[in-house]
Amino acid sequence: VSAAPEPAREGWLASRLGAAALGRALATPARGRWWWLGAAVVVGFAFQAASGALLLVHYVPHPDHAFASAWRILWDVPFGWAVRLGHAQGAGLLLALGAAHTTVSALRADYKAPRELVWVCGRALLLLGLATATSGYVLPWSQLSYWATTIATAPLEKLPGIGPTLLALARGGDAVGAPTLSRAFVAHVVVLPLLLAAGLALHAWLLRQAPVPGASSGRPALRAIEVAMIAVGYGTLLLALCVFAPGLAFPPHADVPADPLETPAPIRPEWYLLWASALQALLPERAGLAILALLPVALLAVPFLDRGPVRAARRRPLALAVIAAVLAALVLLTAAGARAESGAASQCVLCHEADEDEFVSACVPQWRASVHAAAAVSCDGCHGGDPLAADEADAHDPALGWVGTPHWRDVPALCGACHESVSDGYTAGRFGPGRSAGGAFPPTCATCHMASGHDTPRADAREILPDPLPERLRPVPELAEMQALVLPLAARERALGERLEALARRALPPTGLARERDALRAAWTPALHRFDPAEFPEAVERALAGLDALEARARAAEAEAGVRGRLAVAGLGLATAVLAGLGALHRRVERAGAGEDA
Amino acid sequence: VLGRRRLLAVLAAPVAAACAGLLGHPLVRYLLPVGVAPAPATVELARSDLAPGESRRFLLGGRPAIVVRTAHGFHAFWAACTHLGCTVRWRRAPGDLFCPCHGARFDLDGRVRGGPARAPLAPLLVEEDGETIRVRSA
Repeated sequence: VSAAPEPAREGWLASRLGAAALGRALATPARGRWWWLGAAVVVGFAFQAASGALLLVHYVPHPDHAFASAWRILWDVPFGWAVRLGHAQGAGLLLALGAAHTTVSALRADYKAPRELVWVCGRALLLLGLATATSGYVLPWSQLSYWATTIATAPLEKLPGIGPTLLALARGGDAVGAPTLSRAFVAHVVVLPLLLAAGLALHAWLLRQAPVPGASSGRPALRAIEVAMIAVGYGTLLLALCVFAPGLAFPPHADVPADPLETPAPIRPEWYLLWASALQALLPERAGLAILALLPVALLAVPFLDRGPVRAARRRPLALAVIAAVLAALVLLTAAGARAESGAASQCVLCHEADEDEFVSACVPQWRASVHAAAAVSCDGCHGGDPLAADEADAHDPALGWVGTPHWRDVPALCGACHESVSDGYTAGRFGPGRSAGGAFPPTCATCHMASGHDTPRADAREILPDPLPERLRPVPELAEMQALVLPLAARERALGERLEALARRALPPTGLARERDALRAAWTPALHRFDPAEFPEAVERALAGLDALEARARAAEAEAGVRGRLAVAGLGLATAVLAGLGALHRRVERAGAGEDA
Repeated sequence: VLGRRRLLAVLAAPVAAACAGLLGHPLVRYLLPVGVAPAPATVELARSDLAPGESRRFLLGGRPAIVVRTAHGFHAFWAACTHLGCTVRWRRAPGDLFCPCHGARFDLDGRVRGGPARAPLAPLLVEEDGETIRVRSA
């Protein structure tokens, strides 16, 4: 007589927690080939929740403090860089995984009966994730946050009927401001994470009710190891993103505090919304809005539109064609959104570029190489006219502000529309209106900065004030005196700029030093443009003192970069070792299981 | 025959919708900004701060505004572009108010001169009192 097998004993804590029952309730009964994508999304959500909670310790959700506190986390709080970078990069990674999960589900027709609700719940989670990422974009309260929010919420007003109410709900007022930040904070930190957590639980429950067809159950031990491997793999990928591509989380204007009076250009959304902005630019306003409003509905309705019983991809050519078309459109629109110049530039560039007369076409490559193209300042910024008109006469209509080559008297004010402090300095100085010696044609902005055409360089003193001075600048005696002071100062600025660029290439988000270097330059350049030799040496002395301080901070940042780099390499090595260990354990448990089955 | 269970099932949806409406109405009212109509606001500038051909941008009641001085006087507008809300800037040579986001342009009467905007800029009231210029919302 053989003894009956004893039931497996649970540990003290596990028995009181009901761990076995909980494990059975949480675990999916069976898994398909691509189950790890969904599991990685859950891991990513857990990471975002944890890193978000850590950010809340130091973040202050107030317009006067939000930017400074977010910046302090990045640069002053020990390991704050890892938390903030990880959270920012994690948002993109999570959305990419969610999109991949959706694509695989669509290709495998995992939405077919009886799994309609699994699809609807999963895609609703993707849309909620998008809303969570977008609301999080507001919180650093940078120029990018402020203007991306302004541009993204403005179309709501155009929706018929409920538009103004929706806009008021989103912004909390007429313009983006403190109420918008409060609302984004509550949505990002409380409402959306709760909805996401509940949605994930519901998704897991629905998955238990309707498993993926052809799925097989795995051994609990194997499953635990696999989940651990997914978590470590996710962490490794995230760390690699933070180390090798920190700039992904900090596009232009993300390191400048919000300023409602100054819209920088160009403002581009995060990569996962580029397609939407390109679509809006491509279509008439209402058509673009209608498509953007209908897309989520269409995504959720997929199971009810494709109701045939066939699942095999090769027997669903129409469905495959639709999926391929949607993916291709998303990729193309994203690429178009990423390289979009200011829309205003397009028609001028198209016509001039195609013109056979070199005098007419030469300006286009020059402009493209200039600092103005980089800042999306388009042709009509200086020449007026209608940059969207395809007809030459309409484009060059004086009634639409067409001025051709601006008169030299107008140039300082024209440039001053953007370069305000420099223009103010020039206007108040030696060559300002009415002070030009003998009424002669004085040097204007274009004399030095556009000496060779439209290829306005970044303000490099070696090019603008070469030693010796060119003939055209010799009638200005003040310039020779200033040149002696400017060139050494500019050389130190240039050296600092190169150090900052080198820093930016390392495992670092923007340091803010480049912004401070620009502020320093903005403080001394008006004195230069007043052409007053008596005032200028003092301004240069102040600038040199400022450079001393910035150089010291650059050295500290370089040391910090070294520490972070070593930590990151150690972390990546450790993660790889853990992954290898888990892989070996997985194979061992698998072999043992196969032996038992045999 | 409509049994009790069937009747309850039929009534459940409209009752739930009515409850959602009853709860949703105060919720939406709570979430809407208090005092949607902005209170009249005024900003004072010194005439000498603004030479002919120059402009100033400032916050008026928390919203960006712009005033331009020309040979013909002062022109003031809410500075939010009517396309997507970016802040417009004055360009002296073309003589227009220009939006750096998508290139919308407006003349000094606020009318659309070009670009994607469809509606004119909303004007502000300008009062000249000796050396003082007052810009106020309507």
